[in-house]
This record gives sequence, C-alpha cells and structure tokens, in this order.
Amino acid sequence: MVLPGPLNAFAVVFVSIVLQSLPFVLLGVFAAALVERHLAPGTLLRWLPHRRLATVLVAGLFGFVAPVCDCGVIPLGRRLAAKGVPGYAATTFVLAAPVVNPVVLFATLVAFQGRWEMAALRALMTLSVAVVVGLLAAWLLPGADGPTSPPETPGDRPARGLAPLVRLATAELLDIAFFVILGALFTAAVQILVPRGNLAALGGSPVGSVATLMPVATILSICSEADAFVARAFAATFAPGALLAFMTIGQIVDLRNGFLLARTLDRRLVVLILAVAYGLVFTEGILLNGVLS
Amino acid sequence: MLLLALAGMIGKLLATGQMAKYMATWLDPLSAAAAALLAVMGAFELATLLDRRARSLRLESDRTEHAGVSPDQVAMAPEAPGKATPTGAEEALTALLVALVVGIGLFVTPRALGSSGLGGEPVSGLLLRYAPGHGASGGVPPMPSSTAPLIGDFDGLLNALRRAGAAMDGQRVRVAGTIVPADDLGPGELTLLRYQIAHCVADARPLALLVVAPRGATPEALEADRWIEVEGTLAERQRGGDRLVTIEATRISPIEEPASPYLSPPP
Repeated sequence: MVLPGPLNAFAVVFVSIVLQSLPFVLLGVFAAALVERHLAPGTLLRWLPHRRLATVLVAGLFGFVAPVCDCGVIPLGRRLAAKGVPGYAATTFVLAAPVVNPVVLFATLVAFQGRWEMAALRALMTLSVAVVVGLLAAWLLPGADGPTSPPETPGDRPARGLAPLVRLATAELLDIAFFVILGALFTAAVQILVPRGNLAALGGSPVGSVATLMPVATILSICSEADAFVARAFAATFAPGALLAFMTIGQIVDLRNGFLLARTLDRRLVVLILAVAYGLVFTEGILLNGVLS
Repeated sequence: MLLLALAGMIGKLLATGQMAKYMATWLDPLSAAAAALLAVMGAFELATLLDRRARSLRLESDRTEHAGVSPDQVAMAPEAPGKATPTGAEEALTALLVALVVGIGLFVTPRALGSSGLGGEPVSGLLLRYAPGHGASGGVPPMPSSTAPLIGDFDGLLNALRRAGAAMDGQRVRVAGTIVPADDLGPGELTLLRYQIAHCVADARPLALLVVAPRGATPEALEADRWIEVEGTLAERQRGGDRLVTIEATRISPIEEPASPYLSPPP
C-alpha cells in the first residue's frame, strides 16, 4: 500500500521515531531491571553525599555511567528512586543523563568537527538545568516524588537467572510503550503539519535566533545522538548560542518524551522543569551568542 | 504477541531493504539487535503465558475434582495480593498503538520524504549557495568541463563543493533527487531536493539545488516529488545577492526512487 505525500511523510516520520528509540529504550528498561534485581534498597543512599548540592552534582554526572536516551532514562530513573535515591536527585539524573554521557558528547564532537567547546558547553548547559531543577525541587517541593515506580511485574515463584530479568524489563517496556509511541505520533504530526516558516530569516538576531530554535527543538524531538548533526546544519545561519540552546532544550523538553515525563513525575515538578529549562537555556543561549559570536 | 510482532516487523524491514527509508543504514545492526531482544522478550512472555494457562487448568481441574468448586469460581479467583497489573484500558491502548506501528511497517510501502517534509520552509531558502567570497580552495584552478571526471552522486558533489567551492564551475555532475515546485523560479528552472539524515527520517534536513533544464525541455511538465536524474555541469547563478550552486543540465531523466534515498551527514 502506497500512501499519498503528506500521509506518507507522517507515517514514515512516526515509524522512524519509534524504530530509532527502540534500542535505547530497551537499554534503559534492561538497566532498570538490573537495578531492581541486583541493587539492594538503600545501597545508593549510603554512597550519596549528605549535602543536597553534592547529591545533585553526583546525580547529574551519573550519566557518564548510564548512557541512555531521554526515553530510556525514565525507567532507570524511577528504579533508582524506588531503591532509595531521593526524588530530586533521580529527577536530576533523568534530565542530565541523555546528554551528559560519552556517546552523546562524542557525537557532538564529531558533528562539530572537533570543536570541543561545543560539546563541553552543551554538557554544562544541560547540567546547569538539571542541577537547578534538582536543587529547587529539593527546597521547594520536598514532598514531590521523583520518577515514580511502575507496578511490580506479575511474577511467579522467585527464580534466579535470565527469566525474571527479562520479565521485569518487559513489564517496564510495556509500561512506557504507550507514552513513547504516543509521543512519536504527536511529534510526527506536528513536524509535518506545523509550518516552520522561513527559519533562516530569523537566524541573524542574537535573541531571535535562540527564541526561534528552542521551540523548533521541542517540536522536532530529535534524539540526543543525532541532534548535533541537525544543529550543525543550522550553523550557517544561526549563532553558536542558538545551536547550543537547540541541543540543550531538545533533550529536556520535547514532544516525544513529554507524555512520559508527565506520567512519571509530579505535576508541580513538570511545571518546574518547563519553567527552569526554558528560562535558563534561553538566558544562557543569548549570553553565549554574545561571547562566542 | 506485540513484542513478537514488533520484532517481526523490524526483521521484515531489514530483509526487504525498506529500513533505509526510515533510518540511516549504519544503524541496521542496532535495529537487528533490538529485534532480537524483542523476540527474546516476546518468547519469554509467550512461555510464561502458556505456563500460567497450563497451571491454571491443572488447578481448576484439581479444585473441581476435590472441593466441588465451579470452574467459573476458580477462573475468577483473585490474583495473589501485591501483584498489580496494568488496567485493561491501558493494555488495549498500548496494543492499539503497537499494532499501528506494526501495521504501517508491514503493510505500507514507505517512500522517501518529498516536498511535504519541508514543514513550510520555502525551498528558495534551502538552495545551496557559495559562501560569500568563497573561491578556489588552496589555489585549485577551475576544471574545464570537457576533461573533468564526472562526479556521479550527490554526496560526491557536496564533498567537492566543500573542498573547492566555486572552483568547481564547469565540473560535470550526475545527481538524483526529487522535483520541488517553487513559485520564484525563472523559465526553464527547477529545484532538485534531497534530504540528509543522521539517525532517522525525523532528523532529516533538506538540501536543494537549482537546475536549469536543457533548451527545449519543459520541466513544468514534470510532476512534483518525481525522482529524476540530472546530468550537466556546475555553474553559478546570481539571485538576490546570493551565488546559487546551479546545474546546467544536458539531460533530465525520470528514475525510480533509490533504495537508499537519504544522504549521510558530512564527515
């Protein structure tokens, strides 16, 4: 069956988002299953620093150990929360890990042809949002849960080996599959239907360029390993600060994982993330346009 | 069953080569690994389901035999406490969405993005331009069209332009792409469109080339989003202060959509 032009574009974009998310989501659900099976409750809490600032910094940098995308990180984040990691720290991890990891930073370095400052600034901007959200969540929303746990998988008698791990991972996957696919559906529809207009015309202004690319990043919902290549395609017409804002906001606030975040986080926390992410990234993007241009 | 269906869909896309219409080909091993993992997960679920059904039947048979309990009462016995399961509505919606993905993957013949993937961006803004003041690179002299070896693909053309810029004037090229209608073209001009992807079609970025049709040709007769192959020489056209990379075509031929229609990002 061959679909007409716009419907074909929608179908192809929709399925491609699901297909490219799958390996990373599977990585995340198996990592979550491993945490559930092999990490005793409270273990991580003993290792974490006592001070909140230090805790969020450690949580933000933990992405170097867990390189998962923004969809796959949520199952892992909520299993960590279930094992005693404070909600605010788990939230910091969920926001930072999709970018602050070796895979994405290397992809950024490759996309920008070795310009290490782009990779470094990207990591710092992401960390700044994750840490600020974590600290504000700890002080302003002490009662708010971080990523919440899914129900326990319906299990049989306790068993060793691969089977319980696979069943746990399957339960995680089926728990989030609806939101991942719904996010892909929504993203595809918006990408095809919402006119982006003449982006190049807005690229020259230090403020306008950031204000233009940030919502584009939210709409396009590109995964963290690929968005640097898309950002580089904009490099001819947009200043570096706008490109960094594009790469940062796109991994924290996008349509694809928005449904999943709304489901797993406290509503007040979601509002906090939106406000801090957009406000901080916008400000940093403009400042960097002034410094780097 | 959903997991097995998803695994089967990915397998079908890889086996038929249709995965290239959705994702960059270098990700095929990752997709294959995901399909294998999904198949394993699906097999475990199926085995668990069959095992539960078998034990439920045995339990039902034991109870009805020894306690006189009706089969219906046994079937409706609650699950062990503490074992929560997703609601029926959530399961049904998940199944529906997965079925949608599988259905499209199995039964729809995907085609490459065309003009409908531009998201309203005017194609004139996407035309490849020489950078201001960009001339020969490293003292490379312009190559006469009659002796220059033909550049036979879009990637090769882009690499050459990056290296030598306007020094490529006169270079013979042969490239393929889709036709995109544009209101602000001159007579005999058309726009050739290709997309570049890093991971998947969702991150596709359009690239457009201005093509001047051979004398006597009627490019207006060619339908939008038709795949064509253009052979000609590189030139430059001034338009609104921009120096547009242009192909002065000697031949334009309709072609079938390539098996791998997307370009890779530049190295």
